[in-house]
Amino acid sequence: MIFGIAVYFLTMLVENIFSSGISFGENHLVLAGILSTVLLYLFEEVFYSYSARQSKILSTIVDALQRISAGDLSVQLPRTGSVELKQISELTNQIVGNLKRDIAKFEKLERVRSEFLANVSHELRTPIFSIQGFIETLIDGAISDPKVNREFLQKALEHSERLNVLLNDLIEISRIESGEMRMSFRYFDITNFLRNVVQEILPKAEKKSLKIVQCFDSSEVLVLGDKDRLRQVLDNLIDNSIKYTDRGGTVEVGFEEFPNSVRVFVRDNGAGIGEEHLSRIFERFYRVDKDRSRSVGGTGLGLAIVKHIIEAHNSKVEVKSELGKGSEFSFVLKK
Amino acid sequence: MHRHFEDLLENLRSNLIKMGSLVDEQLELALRALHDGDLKTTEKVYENEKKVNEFDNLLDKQVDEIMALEQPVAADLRLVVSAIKMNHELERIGDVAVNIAQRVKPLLNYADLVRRTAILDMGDVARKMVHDAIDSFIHGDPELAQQICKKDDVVDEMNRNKFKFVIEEMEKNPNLIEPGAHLIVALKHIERVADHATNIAEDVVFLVDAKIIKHHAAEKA
Repeated sequence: MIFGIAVYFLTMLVENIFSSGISFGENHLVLAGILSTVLLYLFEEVFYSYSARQSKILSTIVDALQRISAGDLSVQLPRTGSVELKQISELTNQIVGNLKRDIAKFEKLERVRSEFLANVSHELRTPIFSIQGFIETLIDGAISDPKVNREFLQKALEHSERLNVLLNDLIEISRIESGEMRMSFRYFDITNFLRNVVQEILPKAEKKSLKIVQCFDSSEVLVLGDKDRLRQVLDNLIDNSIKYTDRGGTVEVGFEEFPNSVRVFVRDNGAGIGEEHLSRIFERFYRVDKDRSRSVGGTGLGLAIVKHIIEAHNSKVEVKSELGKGSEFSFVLKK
Repeated sequence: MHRHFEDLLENLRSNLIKMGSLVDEQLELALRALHDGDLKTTEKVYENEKKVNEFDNLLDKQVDEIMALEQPVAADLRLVVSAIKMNHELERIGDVAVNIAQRVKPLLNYADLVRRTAILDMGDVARKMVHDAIDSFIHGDPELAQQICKKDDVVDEMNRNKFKFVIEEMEKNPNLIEPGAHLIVALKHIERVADHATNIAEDVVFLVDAKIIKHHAAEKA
């Protein structure tokens, strides 16, 4: 608008000059003067509007930074203005994005930590209360009752053993998750290894009248893995199979050989796991059947430990299970 | 990098780990046999030695093949050079394990002296050094390798103390001169094991960081 009015007045001025009979030389000088004035004016106008625009963008940025510092992370700056201002806006948006991600991560960690603590407290409390209960009953007079005193002491002992197993598992999982536990990979003979594992667990199976079948021949097959940790995995898996298979059932332990790998499996014809639980059984303290799990002495951490150890071997635990028919847990090791 | 070359390098690495696994087990068996006075276990040590020697030849052959046909450079070259050196160190540890196992028979009737010398304490530190050296190679962990180098001084100090103890025992009781001499030899073997583990650890630092740390070369540079 202002520019239009200026152009109109200038046109009028030029027309007046030409009509007043000024010579060409004088005319030229006057024209140059007028044009300089116009250009100066235009430059000032452009500069002013540019500065005003940049200043507005800067105010927006300052405003946004103030909101961010006050904790508002919904801020999103438009990519506009000079190259530097665009960069500032982009970086600010990136910082906000990173902050949002970090906060979400911390919130998740905090949630997991709280859940873990709640679970740990609950799991610890159960055996502690039981031990306390038995001891209190004994102090209150049961100690002199030969019918129950020994039984109560035996139960208190069982609960203290359970407490010990739970604490060991907790230490183990915390070492694995903090990365403190380093795997020692070595080549070893899986045939000999599985034979030893089965040999040691056999009395436990026989106590429950279960049959343990070794599904492998005697030839040497070298695999790469941490023997001690894999021992823990196999102990856990076979122990679970024994726990959840009824008397007279069968537990099979063995491996299948492939050109570059070996698939180790533990399968049983026990209770099996419902499909709805399969995706969650490796979570810490997740139990398919809480009462049964506790009654058979499970800590709720065994499969979480198994998962971590097998993942450290760049492998994955596969589960196939059918309710009432049995389960198969397997993992692959490099040859 | 073409597939064949990759396979050759992977195979080399894998055979080094296999050899390391054997040597690690061999050393554990030799030390256990010495401590328990178990001659049966020494048989397994001698058996493993044959396999270790086969791996020594196999690795030499593989290295020759890679050098001649592939002319590796940079990190690949460092792997091949380290493989040559580590192969030599592992083979030597295997030999030393056999030497330790050979001390079991002459010390059979001197279990008390062996126990009082607490040779297994020193053996455990040296064995852990070998174990960690192999781990540091498998995990490509130069920090762990540097820690191993520091432990060598601990083993040297233990060797000096135990040497002094055995000499004192020999002075007190001349009947212990012969078993004492065998124990001193066994101590020296264990001290050598720690030296070989340190060399492997230095090779790992060279392999991963391309830095030479042997003979304090990094400090002098």
